[in-house]
Amino acid sequence: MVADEHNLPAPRFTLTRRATLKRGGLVLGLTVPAVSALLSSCSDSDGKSDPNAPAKGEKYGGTGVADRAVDAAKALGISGPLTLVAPSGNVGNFEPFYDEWASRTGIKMQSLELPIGQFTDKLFSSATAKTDAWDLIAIQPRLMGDLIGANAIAELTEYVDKHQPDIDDADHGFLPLQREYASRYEGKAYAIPVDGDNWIYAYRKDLLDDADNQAAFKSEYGYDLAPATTWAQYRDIAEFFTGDGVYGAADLVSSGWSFWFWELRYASRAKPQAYYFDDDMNPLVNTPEGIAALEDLINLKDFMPKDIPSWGYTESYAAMGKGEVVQETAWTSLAKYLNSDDSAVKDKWATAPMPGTEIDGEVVSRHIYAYGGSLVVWNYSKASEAAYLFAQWISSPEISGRMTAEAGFADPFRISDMGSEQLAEIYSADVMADYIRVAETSVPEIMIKGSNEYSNVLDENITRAFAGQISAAEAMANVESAWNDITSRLGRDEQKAAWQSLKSTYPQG
Amino acid sequence: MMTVDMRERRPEAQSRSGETAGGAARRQARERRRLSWLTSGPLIVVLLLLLVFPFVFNIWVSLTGWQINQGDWWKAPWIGLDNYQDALTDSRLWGSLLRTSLVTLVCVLVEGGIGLVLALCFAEKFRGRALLMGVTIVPMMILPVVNGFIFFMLFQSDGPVNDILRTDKAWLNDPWSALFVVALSDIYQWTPLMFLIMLAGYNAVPPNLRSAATVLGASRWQEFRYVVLPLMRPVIVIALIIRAIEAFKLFDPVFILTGGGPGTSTETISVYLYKVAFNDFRLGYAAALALVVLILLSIVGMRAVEQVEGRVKSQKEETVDE
Repeated sequence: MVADEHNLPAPRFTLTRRATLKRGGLVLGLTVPAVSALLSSCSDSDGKSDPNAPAKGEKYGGTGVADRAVDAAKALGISGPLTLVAPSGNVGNFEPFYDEWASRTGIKMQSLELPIGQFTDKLFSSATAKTDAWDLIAIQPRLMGDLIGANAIAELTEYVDKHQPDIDDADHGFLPLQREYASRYEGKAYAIPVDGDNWIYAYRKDLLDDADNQAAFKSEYGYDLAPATTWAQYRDIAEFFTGDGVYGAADLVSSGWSFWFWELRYASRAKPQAYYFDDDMNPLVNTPEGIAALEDLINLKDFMPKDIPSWGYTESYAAMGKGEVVQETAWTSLAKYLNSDDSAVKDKWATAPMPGTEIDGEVVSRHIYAYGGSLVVWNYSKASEAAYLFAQWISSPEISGRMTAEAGFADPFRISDMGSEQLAEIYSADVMADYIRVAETSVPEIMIKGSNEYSNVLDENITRAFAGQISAAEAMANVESAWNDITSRLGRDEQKAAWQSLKSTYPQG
Repeated sequence: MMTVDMRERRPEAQSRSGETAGGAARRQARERRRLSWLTSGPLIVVLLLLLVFPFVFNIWVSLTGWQINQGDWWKAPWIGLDNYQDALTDSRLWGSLLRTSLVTLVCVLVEGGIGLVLALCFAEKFRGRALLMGVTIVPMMILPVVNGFIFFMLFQSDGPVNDILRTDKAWLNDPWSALFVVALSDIYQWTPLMFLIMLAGYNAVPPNLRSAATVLGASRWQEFRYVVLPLMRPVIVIALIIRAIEAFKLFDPVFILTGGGPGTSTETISVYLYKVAFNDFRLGYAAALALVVLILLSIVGMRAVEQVEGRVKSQKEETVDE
């Protein structure tokens, strides 16, 4: 039918810019309140949506850490909002708890998510500008020294003394790693830990237990196939399983990640500890131990996915989750991922103590504490005490277990969470059973001022050596020279003091 | 013949208020000057604040050892020309400069060449021209970060490019192939810009000159070679200069694709400066490096502009002579 425009009824709506704007405004005007009402009726401002949270008006009880934070925050009589800034992917650890905090204290929270690659630049440029745009920051603890140097974060000793977050409590305090490395700098309180980030060694139990594989492995390598106890065995297992789209390992060697994997190998190269510096801040990396640690990593080259030099942790987790990788060393959150519904190897993997190095007939095995996560209070915050109190509350024994179980990728960090059945289900019972031992044998990454610069130099030279541009020995010689320059520039005496303080926190024996 | 300067003899006309004509002119000139200061003054102040102050501040910072993690800039130690001395022997600086120059040269020439060919293809009207033109300029509108990510995905060892080529090459692990991917992503994104500039340049060539060449029996190639190309030359050179300046600042694709790695083998000057300033927090040294690069770029840029001006001038003179 051909429409005759003269016979058509007058259109009910005319499509003009004005009409569209008017109608849009009307629709928006009606929709926004309706949606808000719907959302507010669905959301639970009393924090009762979480069955693990006590009802509004009731105390958390327990250790009292959470209640002390709530009571003190209420007494401040402010409403916020406080801004928490975090690298992308990390805000998910905190946001699920904002409503509960707001309903109990009256202080609203909001997040600002920054791309992970631009996180440190933004922090430091804001420190230069002394902006008060945010109150709390979720940082890698290794940045603490640099942030303190830039006057960017506030010392928390006064608040810690006043509100008692029970950092060192033997029953419900923070794990040794978090206590020593992630909350203090040169003995002073600057941060509240909120992420465990112990490292684990995960392997495909089904493949290593397979009788055919065991027989073939023994005939090829002359010893039994079992979870690697040394880095040499780790390489052998990687070599054995590589082929047909399966890779023996997926340890990260890309820019921004590789230095942690070198540190992990270096940590087990000496007894009692393989330190980064001597007492005068002379680097100890251009040594047979440092070079061997790098060679351990380079020796895996043929047994890892081809794109590994450009991978981050999400790619390596996904590869193992898809069943393409036989073993990995990574953060504890790998266990969480491998047990998730996204994983194709949910019941096919297990963990074992970190491989190490045989020294004087004894295998020295070390885990490391790297990346991590702490909340620090921005030095230019206008509500620094309220910001601190939120950090105390969310890291309290009353919330910490829920935070690691229900939200994001944070790993357990309170001693009191070690017996949690819920966490044992999420991470696997053997991971949780071994958690304290791992925490007690873990050594820190370079957590002194200049950490970024020391790590960058290391990273650049590792990636160059892995790409075959320079030898392992050349790489370590470059690192030694550059580290000396950095130390001189930052002030050798100041760096010596910071290093001595960090060194004293290494586990003994 | 005797000439008389009438100005000497003419008595100054007096206004009703008794003011001479010269006095009025001087007063008007003063008022004009005052007006121009009033109108342009705020702009000059803003420009001083926005351009001159940061530039002077940058020079000052470059003479200090300021690191953000060492405290405030005004407390930074004065180290004179040490940063510049270090820059001279900084192999990463010169390596990244060389690499950036190479990528810039390749990208700009390829983009210019393809842009010119595309401009000639789109010079005449044909069916679907508008649609095709729209499609051609789409890459230019993609965010550079997104563009970098697209190429990151395309060139994974199990990505579509390797599927087509039936290989498992790890493109981003080898310095040369990684640089190739970086250059390719830049060419993909910025060829449309060159195309648009070239098309505008082509359209500015007077049609009667081309018609005259055709009437005189010139072939299409001769018409292009001897009429169109010489007249387009200033536009082409300006387009190349503008693009070269932009390409020299190449950052996003490198940052996304390789992060400057493996090692430092794909590091461009922008990526290196970024790392010095925001990964190592050495703002004093970064300021010195930025100034060194600025000086080098200015010299090259000014030489190029001089060349263009010289050519345009000689072209005009040739036209007048004819």
